[in-house]
Amino acid sequence: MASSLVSSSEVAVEVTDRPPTLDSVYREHFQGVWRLLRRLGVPIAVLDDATQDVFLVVHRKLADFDPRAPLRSWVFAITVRVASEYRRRAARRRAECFDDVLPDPAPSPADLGELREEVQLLHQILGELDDDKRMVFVLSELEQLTVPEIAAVTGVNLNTVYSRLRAARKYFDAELHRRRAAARWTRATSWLGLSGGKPR
Amino acid sequence: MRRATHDFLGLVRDAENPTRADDARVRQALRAAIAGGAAASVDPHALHNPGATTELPTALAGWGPKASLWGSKLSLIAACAAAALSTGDGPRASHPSTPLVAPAPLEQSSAESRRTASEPAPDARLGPGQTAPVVVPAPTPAALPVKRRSAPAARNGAAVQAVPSLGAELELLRRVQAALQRGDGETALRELDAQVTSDRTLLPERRAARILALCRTGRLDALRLARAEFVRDYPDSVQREAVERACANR
Repeated sequence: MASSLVSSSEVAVEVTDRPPTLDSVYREHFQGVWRLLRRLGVPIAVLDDATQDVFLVVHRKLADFDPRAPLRSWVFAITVRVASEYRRRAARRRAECFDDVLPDPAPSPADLGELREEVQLLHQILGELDDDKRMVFVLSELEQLTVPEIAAVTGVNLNTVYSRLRAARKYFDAELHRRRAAARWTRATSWLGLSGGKPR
Repeated sequence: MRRATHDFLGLVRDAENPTRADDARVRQALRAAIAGGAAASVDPHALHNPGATTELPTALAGWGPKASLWGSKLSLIAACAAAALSTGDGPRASHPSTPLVAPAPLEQSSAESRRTASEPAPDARLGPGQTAPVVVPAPTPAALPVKRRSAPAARNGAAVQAVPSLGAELELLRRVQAALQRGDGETALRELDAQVTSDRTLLPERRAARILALCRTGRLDALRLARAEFVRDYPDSVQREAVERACANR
């Protein structure tokens, strides 16, 4: 095919039809995979392992991938499964250690700067959602997938995705509002030298 | 959802991206996993070699548990050690003369170990009004002969040192206080764990510092236990208010 005769739309088809390589998938999706694993509740202590596992699966299954399908959804579907496995393992590990369910102390490996408190708050509220609601909320509100994409990634039907998303949004919204009000109250009472009497 | 919630989500959406170091580390581990598990059939440079999409042998590529079994075992040991450290804070603080055993160095590749080793722990667990530092008393004449025998080893986490000197204890508390003021609760805890003293003069300060450090690292269960013991043992302590304010809204 002479390149000078190829229309832009044909070029696009040609490019998307080319099978991706592990390198290209990694370059394009490493950040998203890392972030998604973290936001789906993979403990930071095993975040490297989980990310590595995602790309090992990508590597193994890449030959079967249909290049016309959306790559991000495919990678995210693998990520969601790996995250579930790691969450299960983390729960089992806590049981084996006879440990209580302690919060993961570190919000992120990245340098969060001024956003540290906001990210911490995000993780606190996400941690209170059940796994199913957390998953659809993260995929929708943070990764900005559409509901049909979420359904494809999670293997859950559309109505269930909508239902979980509604419930998760409602909880997140209320909880964020409540926590911020409580923080404002604490700051105010601290400044006035008062103590106790936190609002519920 | 409220407008404020949308704004909040917009703010955090692109936060907490991995660093270049994270990228390089995972990339290297991935290459090693591919090379180590499939030397005969897989190009170890596949990650940098477009077109190399060779199938991994089942033993390596069959999902996470198989692919990183050894890493998982190390992580398990590391996590159990960390859990023992965190949940054992209360009782340990109550019996400071009991020799402590530092966790053996773990060959873990976890992000947690790297973070605590090289970067200050994020201090986002600390809420408003919980920044009060530990009040370290001014040195008394008896405390002046200071000899920091164990500080370097303690900072490296290499071994637990017995430090009988009150002066050394004071030095320790200064380092702990500095770590807390930096928001580095992990370092504060390591310092506290790495030195044992038979002198009980500054025991309330040591226990108060531990409680603030537990707050900063988000180890709330251990914090509650230690706080309850502190209030029980030192109801009239000048540290009591700071201790009770630590993560009080969590």
